[in-house]
Amino acid sequence: MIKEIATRLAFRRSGKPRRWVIFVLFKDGLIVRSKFRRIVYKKNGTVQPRFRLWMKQTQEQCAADTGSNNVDILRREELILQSLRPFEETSKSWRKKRLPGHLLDKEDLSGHLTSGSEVMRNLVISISHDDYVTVPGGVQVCIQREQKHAQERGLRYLQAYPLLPAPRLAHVDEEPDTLVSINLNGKKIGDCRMSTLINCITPDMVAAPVIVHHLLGHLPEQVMQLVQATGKGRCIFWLHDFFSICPSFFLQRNNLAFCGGPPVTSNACMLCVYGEERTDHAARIQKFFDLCEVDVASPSAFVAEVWQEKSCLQHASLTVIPHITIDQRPRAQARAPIDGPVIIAFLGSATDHKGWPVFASLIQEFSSDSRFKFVVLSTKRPQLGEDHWRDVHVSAAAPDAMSEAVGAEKVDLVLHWPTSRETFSLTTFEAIVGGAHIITHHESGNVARAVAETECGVVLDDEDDLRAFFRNGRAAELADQRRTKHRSFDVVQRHSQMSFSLNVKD
Amino acid sequence: MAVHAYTSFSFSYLNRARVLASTLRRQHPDWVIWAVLTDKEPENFRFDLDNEDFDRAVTAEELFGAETNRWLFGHDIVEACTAVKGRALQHILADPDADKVIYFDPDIALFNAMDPVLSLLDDYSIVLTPHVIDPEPITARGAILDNEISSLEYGVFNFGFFAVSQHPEAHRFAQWWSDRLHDWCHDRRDIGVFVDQKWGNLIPCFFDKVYILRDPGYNVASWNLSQRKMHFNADGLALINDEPLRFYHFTKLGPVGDAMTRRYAGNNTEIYELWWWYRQEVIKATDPDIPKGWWYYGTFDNGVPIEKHVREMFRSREDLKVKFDNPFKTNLGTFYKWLKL
Repeated sequence: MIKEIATRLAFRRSGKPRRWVIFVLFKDGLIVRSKFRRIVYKKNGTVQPRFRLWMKQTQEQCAADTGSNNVDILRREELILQSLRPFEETSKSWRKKRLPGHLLDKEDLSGHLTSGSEVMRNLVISISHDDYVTVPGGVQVCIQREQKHAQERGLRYLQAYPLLPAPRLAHVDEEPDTLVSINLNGKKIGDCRMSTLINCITPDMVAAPVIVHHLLGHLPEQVMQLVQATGKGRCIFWLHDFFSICPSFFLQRNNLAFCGGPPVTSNACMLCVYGEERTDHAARIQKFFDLCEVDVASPSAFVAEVWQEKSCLQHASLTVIPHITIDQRPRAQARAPIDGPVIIAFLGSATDHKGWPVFASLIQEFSSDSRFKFVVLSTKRPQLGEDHWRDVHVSAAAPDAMSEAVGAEKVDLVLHWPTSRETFSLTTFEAIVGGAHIITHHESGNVARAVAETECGVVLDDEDDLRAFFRNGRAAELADQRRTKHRSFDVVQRHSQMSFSLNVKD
Repeated sequence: MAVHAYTSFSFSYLNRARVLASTLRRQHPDWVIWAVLTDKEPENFRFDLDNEDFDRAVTAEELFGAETNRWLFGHDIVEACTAVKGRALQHILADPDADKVIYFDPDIALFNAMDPVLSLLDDYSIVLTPHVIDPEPITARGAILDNEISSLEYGVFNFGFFAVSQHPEAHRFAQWWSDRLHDWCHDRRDIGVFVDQKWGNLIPCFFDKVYILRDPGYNVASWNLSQRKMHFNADGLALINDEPLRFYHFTKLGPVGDAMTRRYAGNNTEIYELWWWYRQEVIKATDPDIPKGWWYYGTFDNGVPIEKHVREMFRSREDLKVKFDNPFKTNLGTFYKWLKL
């Protein structure tokens, strides 16, 4: 509530910052005062979505006012580079000095994992980068589902994630024994050293291989010890992104462009902010794969193909397990026809890497066009000129909240315009399940592939093509097609069982 | 027999020279890398080859002997650091181990191997790179002024790079160039001279077996960006107009370089990435013990800066050169006292 009031005081309804905000945060109307850089820029160097569109328009206005082409307009790429810091510096800024008050020792932790003197052979251990219970996100929702499937099988689901988040693998010289937080069946039981967890685990406690969802913030050497402690010598390794190839887990060179994971000795890596870290990173991941028997799980064929081409990591198996599969079935009875303006939606957080700035620019250009209506379905209201916002929380308890909201809002087209290649994109599938079509571009990874496979949407060349798509009536045509299809088809979804979809032997 | 590479700088450019040396070392671990220094170490700093990527160093004093002080006094920092290049070339060519000699400005960084140039030196005595290799469109008046007309004014070839073999013709070139630089390495565009570079226009006229290298991957810089586009291929190889990027000339690190780069790189984001990388490398290579703007020969020995017109007057007057053997001194009977009269 307080946050909402503060937002209203700082920003107009149109999303533009109020004059006092501009006066305080910027000098000469546009240059960010150094002490306020952390308000205007994100950690990764990009401008906060709240300021992005306004800053861009102001720069363009400066150019138009002077009537000169020589006025420098900083593009998104240049803004990112201006704020790009050496990776070591970024990593240092992530390190928190605060340590937990109490750490679980072996006895404490064993107390949680055993029932008196009885050993319960029903533990599943998963390793990931954050708390899937409290942190919103597609992968986190999938892990919640995995926990549910574990419990349905009578298993107990233990998750360890780094207490101190990091943008890379933990470094032994900084933290030889990482601090982890432990969740058991979705409830936090405390914090401990990773070695404490390793020492607690005995082969007779564990029912399935360790599931590695992410290694961010972990020492892979310790995760390997944990795998060995289970007595199975193997693990399931998820490709939720490309972290096993590079610390730039979306394979974004300098946070700017998809690099495709070239050889670490290449010019691209030499010039990339992640290049130096990648050398050691790749060697440590390689060792992990060499010493463990790894069953790799990929959420899409797209990721599996890139990973196989670029990683060269030895693995026992590679299986594509889509988080959602969909089936379009003809309806016995057609739905009532839909009229009214074309409803274009943005799903999820208003972040740059999901394409929010592009959606915001569409609002700016077409908000007065009666053919279109712009809505946002997310947990936070962006207040950047959208016609309508609906509060949507997806969780294990409400896994279909987004697709239901898409259906309820009668969304025709969902813009999904990511800056990096999506490895799965839950929102794309949620949109299709909700009956909407997708607008995306060729470089969107699994989004473009899903559109091609389902024939639910359009894949455009670039932002110029996108604007033309709205101007020349193609958007309205696509909305008509989707309305026609929606009348006579149902979209049925099936969620995977995550790691339990794999037929992995003990 | 080995390839010898050299660069010429004062200690205020040591950070850039270190970036050059490390990138040279990465591409060509077997080359002999020389530092030609027209400077003396500031207090609290020692230039130690054991801690550098350079293999050998030679100073202006070693190259010019007794006349060093009175000769150097007639030059500003840019003129001095370029004027020594000719004598340094002769010095290195005199080493029987030096099969091929290549000069790089200290603000250059290598990204891929120079093997094609080494192959050219098997057949040619001198290899040069022009500032520009593609004409600007007729309507691009700004680019014609910035890139073509400035090439006419400052010299057709960029002398941030040249390569020579042990061919007699290369020795003849080294002698001629060294002679001219000794007497005429000044920024005197009023008489058609611009330090070492404008002399290069005469090289194809005077010498045989000169190869003019028109490969866009060499000597990429703000003055030719209007006609060169950079991208990476799937293997991460940096390409300029589809040719491997060999070396980039990071002229004028700072606002001036930024402005020129933005003018001609436009939306070619990879060029800005290159600059971002270079800035970080220079920061890493900067030694805090070298005072900003340090040049030993930039002041009289009492610390008073030497103004350009004083240098010009001194070099134009043979009587002063005879009378004052060390014009940097400031005690009684010196050029400094003579100036104050």
